Amino acid sequence: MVWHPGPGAPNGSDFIPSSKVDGRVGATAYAPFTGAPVGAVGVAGGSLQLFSQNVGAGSYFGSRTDQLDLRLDLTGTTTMAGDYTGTLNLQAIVQ
Amino acid sequence: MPIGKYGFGLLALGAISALRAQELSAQAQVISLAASAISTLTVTIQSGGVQTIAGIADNAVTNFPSPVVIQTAWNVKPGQTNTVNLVAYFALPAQAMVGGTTQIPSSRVLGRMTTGLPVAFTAITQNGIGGVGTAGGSLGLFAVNIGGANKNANRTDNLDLQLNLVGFPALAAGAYAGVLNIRAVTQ
Repeated sequence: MVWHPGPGAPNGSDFIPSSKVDGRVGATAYAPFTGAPVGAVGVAGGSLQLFSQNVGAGSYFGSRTDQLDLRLDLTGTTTMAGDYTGTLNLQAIVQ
Repeated sequence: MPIGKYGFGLLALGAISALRAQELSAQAQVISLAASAISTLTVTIQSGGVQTIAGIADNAVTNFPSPVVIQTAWNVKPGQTNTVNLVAYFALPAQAMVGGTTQIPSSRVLGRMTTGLPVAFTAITQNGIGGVGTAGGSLGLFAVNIGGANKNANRTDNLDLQLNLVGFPALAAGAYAGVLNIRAVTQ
């Protein structure tokens, strides 16, 4: 579960919204961070679920390693000159 | 009501609760993102890039036929940019226009930008601005203060040009050509 708190990457009064930040895991297609929370994790319109894995008798104990690719998609956007920073949170949840 | 009946009910609820999966979340990890949008500054001659006077009159003022239409666009950081300046200049002020044996200096070429700084025709004899232009061969066309409201903006101006040969020695017959540079600079 990945989520963006707030409106994106702030630069003074200018922002890049989470809808312009895309992520993907593995060979999946890039998707913007505009999803809903999963359980109590994430923010509405600023989240992206990276994977969902069923847990059964054979996987009560386990780990996995994934690669998260990130990109900015500023197509159709005029970005004010300047430096932009942001924080992307990752959090796992079991349900 | 018998107490045993209540006791059965509480036990049943407890069993349902135990079978339900507990929601558990891990500690959040943080990825820091950073990106920079570079400043941009462009100048485009929209029309009037070639100006021709068919017949020069000695000892007279002659206007070039049409305005030079110039669009200047910028996207800059107010904290790093105070002004956007547009400058016109000749590389060699003493030879603004070169003929066979005679050169016309930049002091004889005048510019006017009614929407800018030289609202009346002014000789192109100023110094450069911010490293742009040449000493004695430049003309500041406009200077815009940059703030939050206009950090990403553009403007279009007309530059009128004129040749002033009043008091200048008669020119030898022939063609005279020159290049006037237009350049914007931020400071």
